[in-house]
Amino acid sequence: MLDDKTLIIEFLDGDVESFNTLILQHESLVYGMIFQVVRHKEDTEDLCQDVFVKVYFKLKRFRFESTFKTWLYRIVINSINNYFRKQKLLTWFGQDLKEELATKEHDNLTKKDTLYKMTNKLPNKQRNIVLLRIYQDLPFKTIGNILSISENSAKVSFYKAKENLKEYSKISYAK
Amino acid sequence: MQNKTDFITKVHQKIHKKKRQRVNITSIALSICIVVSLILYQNYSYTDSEQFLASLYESAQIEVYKWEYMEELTQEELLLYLIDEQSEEEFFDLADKSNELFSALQSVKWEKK
Repeated sequence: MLDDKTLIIEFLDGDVESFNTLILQHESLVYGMIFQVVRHKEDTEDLCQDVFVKVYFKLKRFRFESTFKTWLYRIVINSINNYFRKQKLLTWFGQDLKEELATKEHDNLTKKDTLYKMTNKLPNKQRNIVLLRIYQDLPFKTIGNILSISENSAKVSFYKAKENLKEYSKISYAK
Repeated sequence: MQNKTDFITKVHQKIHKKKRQRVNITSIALSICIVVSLILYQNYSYTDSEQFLASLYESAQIEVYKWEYMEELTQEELLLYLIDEQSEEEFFDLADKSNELFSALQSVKWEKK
């Protein structure tokens, strides 16, 4: 397994195969990370492809100041945020339909699914932290680096996210 | 493995599509710039030519005004003009027909030189 730095340098020298290897090495990580919050196979695949398209175009600007993985996490997080922003817009336009579907789905949801759904309801910053902390099991320092915030700020946001999740679960089970 | 190859192919298709989009956007932006600059240039030259025509028109108008505001010839001047510029036959012809000219002729004090 070649290291990321060598692959990136080779790709920037014009070797497309190195880029393909880079995709293969990180595809499962990106896919898993996106699927954990999006929970939709087609959307996840689409987002995953978009992430690597972004990587292709932005790699020229990668300065090796952080590891490639940290940089990749940042792109994934941004893509997920954009995805939810679009979903929010779509919800505005199709509010009734979504509500109807949500009511039908509600009975079939497992506890795990409910947790994912509740995570999606969190504000962007908190959702990103939950995604990186709970689902990726990253330390707060790394989360801070990825999201360009301090370690303490990451901890505080994570605490707030947990409080919100508790609140959401109360509402959810009260239904 | 098949899935991985498919995934890579799809990524490259998207990259290709995005590159084409970028080329299209650049072409459209360039075309807009060219059209805008052409319109601006045309406007500029049109203004120039318009100014030129306006100045011509102005001078022409001044000429017209000169004619319009030229003082009327006195009867004597009219007579002298006719004597100088017209042939004898025409002069008498005109004098027969025109009362004005006839009265002008009457008003002239003829002196022997």
